[in-house]
Amino acid sequence: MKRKNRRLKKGFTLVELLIAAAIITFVAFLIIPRMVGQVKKAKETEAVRTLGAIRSAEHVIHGVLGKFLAAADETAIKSALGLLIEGNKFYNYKIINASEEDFLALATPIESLNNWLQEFGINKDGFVNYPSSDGGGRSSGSGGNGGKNDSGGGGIGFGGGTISGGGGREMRPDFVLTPPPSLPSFDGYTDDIEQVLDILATSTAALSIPGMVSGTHLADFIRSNNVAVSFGDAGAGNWGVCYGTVPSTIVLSTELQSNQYAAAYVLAHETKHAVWQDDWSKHKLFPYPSLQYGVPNDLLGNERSGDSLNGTIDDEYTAFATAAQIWMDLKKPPNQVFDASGLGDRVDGQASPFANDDGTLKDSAAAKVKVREWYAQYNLPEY
Amino acid sequence: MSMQKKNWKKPFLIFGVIIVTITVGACTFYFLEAQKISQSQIMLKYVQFKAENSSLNFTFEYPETGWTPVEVSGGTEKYDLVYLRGPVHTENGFTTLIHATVRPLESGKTAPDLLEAYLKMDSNLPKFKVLHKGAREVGGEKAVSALYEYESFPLFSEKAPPVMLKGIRVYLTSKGRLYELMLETIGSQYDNYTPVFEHVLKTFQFKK
Repeated sequence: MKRKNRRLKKGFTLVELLIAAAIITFVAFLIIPRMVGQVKKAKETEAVRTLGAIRSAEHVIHGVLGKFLAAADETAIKSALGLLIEGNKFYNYKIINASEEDFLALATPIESLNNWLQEFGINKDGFVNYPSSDGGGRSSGSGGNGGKNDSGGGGIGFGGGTISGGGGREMRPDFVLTPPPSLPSFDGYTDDIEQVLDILATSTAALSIPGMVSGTHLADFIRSNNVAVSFGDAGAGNWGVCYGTVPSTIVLSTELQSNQYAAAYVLAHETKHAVWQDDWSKHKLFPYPSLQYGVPNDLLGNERSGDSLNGTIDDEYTAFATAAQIWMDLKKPPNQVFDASGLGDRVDGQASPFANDDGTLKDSAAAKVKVREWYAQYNLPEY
Repeated sequence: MSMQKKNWKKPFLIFGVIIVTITVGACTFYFLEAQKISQSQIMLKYVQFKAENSSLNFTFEYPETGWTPVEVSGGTEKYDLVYLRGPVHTENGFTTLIHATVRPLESGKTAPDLLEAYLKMDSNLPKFKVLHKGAREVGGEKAVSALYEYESFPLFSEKAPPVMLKGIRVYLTSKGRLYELMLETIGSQYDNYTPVFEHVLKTFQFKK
């Protein structure tokens, strides 16, 4: 009897096995539909981002030609908008019903995914028939050009840029990122942003980077071009970010609210990106007979030529140098730019490799060493 | 009472065995890792840098793995350089770099003059300090060098504490040109990369 009992203890009873099977089935029922939903959402991201870029490019076109343009497929989109769509794995794209008033760009699932993914589109105001339940919130902030993203969707560009599907790349902070769906649209400036703009405008010192005149000029550029500026989430660890929408959208880290001078410094950096970006968009897309802000072509390099929309070492250097010159000007007495939180010290540490205390720029070859040290991991091209 | 004592002892015994096992495992792991690092240093293979840009009229040897040469020329400024992109410090995203830059030499200027000028330029960096100055021979020419450090804040981590960076700059002149060779890295990592930089200096030669 004892032997028999021992043998029985070694295995599982039928009831135990049934309970285990029931638990596994229950957990699978909970997880599998969510996983399928996430995969679908990831595939839809390709269309969301691409349509957003098409919308941005259409708005730029409309601003100059006074009408929107139609395109039958990706090749025609490249020809009409200068927008290169490549590596799209899940959707085909076309623009129909284009007129002076509106257009409709459609993302149609490729044949094999017809039964799973849904066609949806975007017009001048935002998404139409967006399939996900939270679609309403996405209409205002999509679009944008250039950049890298941290998901599988691929970067988005317009005006000679590229849209590559799949193959998520690591996110590079700053400059042109794929805008998040919740990107704020321009709706005037809040009081705290107005105060930062006012501080930026007080800097009248002459700037050295092409296209940059003074802090006053940069503040004026933001206001006159309706560049959306807000305090918010600028991405993990970032002080600021400039999204390549048209016009650009700048988000400053909420941490900067404790020091408006530091915020003005970061805003100057991001505005340099916005100015060059705006100049490039208009010149590249139409092209303008001359560059509005006089940014030499060789300084924007790959970014302008469309080979790379991920920014360059030189592009970051010029942004740091611009901001550093403004910081040194703002630091002059009687301004009190430092604060107890140490934010001013951090800005000082960031600005000092680029400008001397008197505001003159340091040797650019030496200063770019610092940019490479921080950005080399992102394999940015030099120009 | 004796039964109770036995019940307390058993969990302690198991806990003790687990702790000992983890400790022995961790020690073994770190010992093997240390062995790997020292072996990799011993077996470091070097390759010769061959410039595509003819203005970079020199060669040197750099490690075959872990360092990527990138050639650059100034856009509006006159300089040509090659930098070796080294390891990325994962905690703060800082990349260790070795630069070799060529600039036109202003007439009447000497390598010591220019070393002083560049050190002065960086004197407004936070906590900038020159640790040592020296003289040596590089590529058959007399060179001057300076070891320095300064504080820098991680760029993409707005609240992270500052890191101390440490670097060395070597200046020499030859045929109307100024050559600057430099290594800059995290202070705590400096000694790890000195052998690589020293090898670059040792093998630095002007093309004939």
